[in-house]
Amino acid sequence: MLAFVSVTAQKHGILRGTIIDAKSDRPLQKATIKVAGADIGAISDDNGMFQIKNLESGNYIMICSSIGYETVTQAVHFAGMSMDITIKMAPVSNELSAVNVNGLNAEQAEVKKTKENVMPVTVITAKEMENRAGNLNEILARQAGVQIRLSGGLGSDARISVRGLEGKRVQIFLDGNPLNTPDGSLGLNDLPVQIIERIEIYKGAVPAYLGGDGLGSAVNVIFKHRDVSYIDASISRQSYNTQLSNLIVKKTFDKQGIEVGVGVFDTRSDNNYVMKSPYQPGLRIERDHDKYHSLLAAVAVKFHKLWFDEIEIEGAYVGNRKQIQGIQQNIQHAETKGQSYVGLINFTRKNFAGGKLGLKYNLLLSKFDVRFIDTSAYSYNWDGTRIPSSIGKGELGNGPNLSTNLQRDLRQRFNLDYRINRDFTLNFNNTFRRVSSDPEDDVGNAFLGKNVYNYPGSLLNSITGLTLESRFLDERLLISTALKNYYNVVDGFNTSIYLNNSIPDKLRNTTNELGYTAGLRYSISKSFLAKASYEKGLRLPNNTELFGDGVLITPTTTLRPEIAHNYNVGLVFDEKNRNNRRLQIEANAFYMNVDNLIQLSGNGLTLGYVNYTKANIKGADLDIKYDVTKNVFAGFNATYQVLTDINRLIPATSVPNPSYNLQIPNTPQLFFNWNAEYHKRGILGHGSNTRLMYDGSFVAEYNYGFKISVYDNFVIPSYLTHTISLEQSLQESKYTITAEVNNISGKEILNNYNQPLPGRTFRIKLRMLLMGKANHDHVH
Amino acid sequence: MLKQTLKITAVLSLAFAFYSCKKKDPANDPTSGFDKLIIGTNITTANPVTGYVGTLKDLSVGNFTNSKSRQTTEYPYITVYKNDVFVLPQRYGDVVKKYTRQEDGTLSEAGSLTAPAASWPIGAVIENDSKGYISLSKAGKILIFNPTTMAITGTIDVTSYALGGDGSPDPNIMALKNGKLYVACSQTSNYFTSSYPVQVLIIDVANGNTITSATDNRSFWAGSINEQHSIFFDESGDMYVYCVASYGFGGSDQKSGFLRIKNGQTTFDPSYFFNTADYTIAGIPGGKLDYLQKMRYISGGIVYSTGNVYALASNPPNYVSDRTYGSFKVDLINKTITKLNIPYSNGYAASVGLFENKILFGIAGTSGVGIYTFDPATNTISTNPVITTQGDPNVIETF
Repeated sequence: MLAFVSVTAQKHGILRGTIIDAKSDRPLQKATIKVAGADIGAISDDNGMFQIKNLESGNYIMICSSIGYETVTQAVHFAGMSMDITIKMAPVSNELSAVNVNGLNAEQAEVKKTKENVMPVTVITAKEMENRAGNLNEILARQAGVQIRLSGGLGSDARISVRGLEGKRVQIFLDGNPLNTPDGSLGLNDLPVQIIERIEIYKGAVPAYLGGDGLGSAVNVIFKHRDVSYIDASISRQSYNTQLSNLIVKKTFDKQGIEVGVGVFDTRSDNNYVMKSPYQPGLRIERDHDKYHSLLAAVAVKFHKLWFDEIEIEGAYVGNRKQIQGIQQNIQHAETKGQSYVGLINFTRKNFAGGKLGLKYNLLLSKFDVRFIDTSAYSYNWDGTRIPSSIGKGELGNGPNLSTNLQRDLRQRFNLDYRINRDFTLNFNNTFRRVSSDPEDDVGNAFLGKNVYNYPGSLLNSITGLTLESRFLDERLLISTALKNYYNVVDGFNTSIYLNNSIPDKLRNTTNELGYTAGLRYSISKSFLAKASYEKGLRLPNNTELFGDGVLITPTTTLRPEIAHNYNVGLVFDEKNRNNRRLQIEANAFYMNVDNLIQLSGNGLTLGYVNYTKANIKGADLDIKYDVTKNVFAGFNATYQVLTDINRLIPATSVPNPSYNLQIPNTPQLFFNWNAEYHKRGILGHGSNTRLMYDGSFVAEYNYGFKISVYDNFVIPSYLTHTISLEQSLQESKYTITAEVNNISGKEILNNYNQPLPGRTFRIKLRMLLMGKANHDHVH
Repeated sequence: MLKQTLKITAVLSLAFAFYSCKKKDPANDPTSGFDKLIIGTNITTANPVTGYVGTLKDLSVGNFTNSKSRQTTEYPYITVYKNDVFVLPQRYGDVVKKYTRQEDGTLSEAGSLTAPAASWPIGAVIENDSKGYISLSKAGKILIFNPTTMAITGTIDVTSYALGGDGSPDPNIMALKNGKLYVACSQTSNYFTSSYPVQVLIIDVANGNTITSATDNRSFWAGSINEQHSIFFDESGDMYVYCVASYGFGGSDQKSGFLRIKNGQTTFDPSYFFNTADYTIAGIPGGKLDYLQKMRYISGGIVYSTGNVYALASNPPNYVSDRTYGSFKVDLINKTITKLNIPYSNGYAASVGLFENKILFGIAGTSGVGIYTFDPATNTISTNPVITTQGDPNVIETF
């Protein structure tokens, strides 16, 4: 939307045009046409005609929108005097793959813009995921450079790994706002796929306007927005007694410019798959204490006819309950429960001050209440018999816990876009967070005989980014530079039990550091881009790392931020041939130098987090997508990455590091994904669409420890999986049924050591999408 | 004068020790030329920490790598019997593995047994070729097994001896003499501290596995759980056990030290307690140890040990730079502790071994990681590791 214009002369004239329905060729009345980046536009009359007077000659991007139609962006070279154009608008189809005939719809334009940024980025569109019966983790894990490290079935711990860096080193954003739930109670996989418009995966460099801290990789989830009233209901049944039920109802009041939406998403699973015990040779175990339930409910009201283009007020509730499945030991009672309440207000004004400014502001208040329950007086054998707990109470082995951790989070994001002129854009972004944490575990304290858990903590975090984007050579060259300031203050207590002090000391850790990004993109041709970027990224230590767990993980308040220097070069090719077959190829090579990596270490008795590892990461990835025929699509991606320990000496010593120059363990090194799709419209009547999809994945074996001995046997074995999915939609996607078999061969899969994942999984999903009547009075 | 006396005592002690070892005739010894030492190490430069068990020919090698070692979970617990090495996974696994040393300097897999799930196999004692014992700390049981076939042949249930009334008295390290299995118990009252008296179970394994529980409230927590040699017998057949007093977590009221059960008795000797917590040691910051970590009884009442010097720990601990474990000579008879001039180590190493006529200390220090030696005969200490090790050496055993 912000792709501004290239004015080549100073002549003035009238741009006239007709807007017509692409399907019926009838004129479209009251459609809005705007010049992107300027406050100029018009509304089509009863004959679908419009005119924009006194327009300077130049190259423009026209944005045409109308309720019930896909927004169209179209490039226009206006030579001055007068000119007539025709814009065809495709009706909004329930099938989101529908494309306009004259150009890109708004979403495609956003995707194109994102891909043409200086950073390496993979974009997953709604089309690729919304009707899939699988979950978001599976979709992410099929992308180049990305792995999802799972510990079990639905609801289990999942760490996203991008270019070999995992967990908190990868930033997660929802609509540009850092996710950062303090306790991880809301993960990416909790998001229903049909509410997602697209996912952007930044690899090696992250736009500063996203805020947040991390080591140069990020996942930004953009939620879907439709301008019409609709009902979207789906239910999915899967193996292991898994059920996902989703309902979204939205009503638009076009005259008032108000939208009201409600969404309820219920996910539950027994996760009762059979696993081969990694500890007891020959023992097969049906997981019987791995139930997961989550309920996400949200209500949102949007106002469109105020000074802001959009004001959104939203309230959400997330509740989940998760049993803890034992692997080495049969756990029967321990579980976690969480409840989160979120209130949010968003303000968006895309163009003001003569089209030079764009503003986004949001304020979020949330409360997270997480409980951990482990009070059983018994331990259980795998045959179901029970014995008194060896430590009196508690199955997990640390004593009983009945804890509540109440965390309150206030955060805001202020983002201002300033288009200085046609060639330069400045963006200012600030995210500010104030988090208080109030844990309580009287049962745990009573067992320990002292207060080690009930100590509050707090976090104050402000991350400010300033980005300058410069376009040269008729926009063929884009240069982006950004400066980012990280300010972080964490307060807590030194609760190390080893100290035997009755009143722990208050401690504070403050960080004030700068990071920066620079990158360029050069369009060698219309279809061929070259990119290069550099980023110095920081990941700030969190509360757990700084203050331990109150028991055996002691505080380490001197932790410094993790630092990454990332270098990326890439080539992007994207072209449609004469037969409208699209070929997309993206290849990237990267070098990352990371320092101060935080890891858990110890002294033989207690543990704590330390800045220890210094590493470099070298790698390359390749992603190819091709429309083989009109009905067949195929894709392939490959990733190779090597993380190497480059500490010559053991930190704080003059002793050679025993793992110097060895590959850092527990990181996937080589993996491939490939897919093929056959799609055809009309097989089951008018408006029907059939898709048959196949996905394959291969991850090569990798070591759990440093590869030191010829006899090393702690490995995460290689695995090859195949997934087949059949999607049938009817009446322009009003009804869709999807059947899927994931991991067809039932291969035993681990991507964390000794943590078996589900085998073959059957899924069926029914979806109904009822779209309301478009009302052309509604314009925004 | 004191120094001279100590020196003479040390020489005599070692002379006695070495005299008691039968000399092997290399011509008739089928293991002549085999590696003589076993080294257990931890690779602590990454999380997760992994362990290795490998063999070493002798002290002339200079540099020990794990290129042919066997990978284990962190902090491997090891028991050696003849040519076999038994590796216990403690809390990190259920499978006890047996390896046999080979002429080419490798350890070949020679069998395994699977302990009950999450039972924590933690200590092993081998009685003979057909009978051995493994303590299951969490399950509160002693497995009887055949070390040759690795078949489990029986179980001794000690759960009813739990002092706190929970499911297990946490049996850990063991020692066997005259048909009696002495089992040190490390039962905690809140996971990391024990408020229960020291407890040693004496199991008459030669006569129907009858169990006698000996307790003593002068200290807490019998046995250093990662040191099989912290329960031992002297030349008189008296049993000594080192009590770690909750590894310092229990506060200053809990005193670490050595207790004794005299030969043939089933109760602790009320006349003997060497309170190591209150003993002031010259040459260490603060003058105090809060516990001894690894140790090896030599003879004549002399124990060589490593121990934690609390005053060296940062607050909160600095896991990168702190080195708090010193090396010591402990005299059980005179109740003295002498600091040896060996660099301080972290707790992932701080091991003690005995080879030929030298005491070996596995040290992960700031200037060297490997095996330092102390020669009691000459009272000399190596200034640098005589063998550098790949990883922090936490086990030094001898075939």
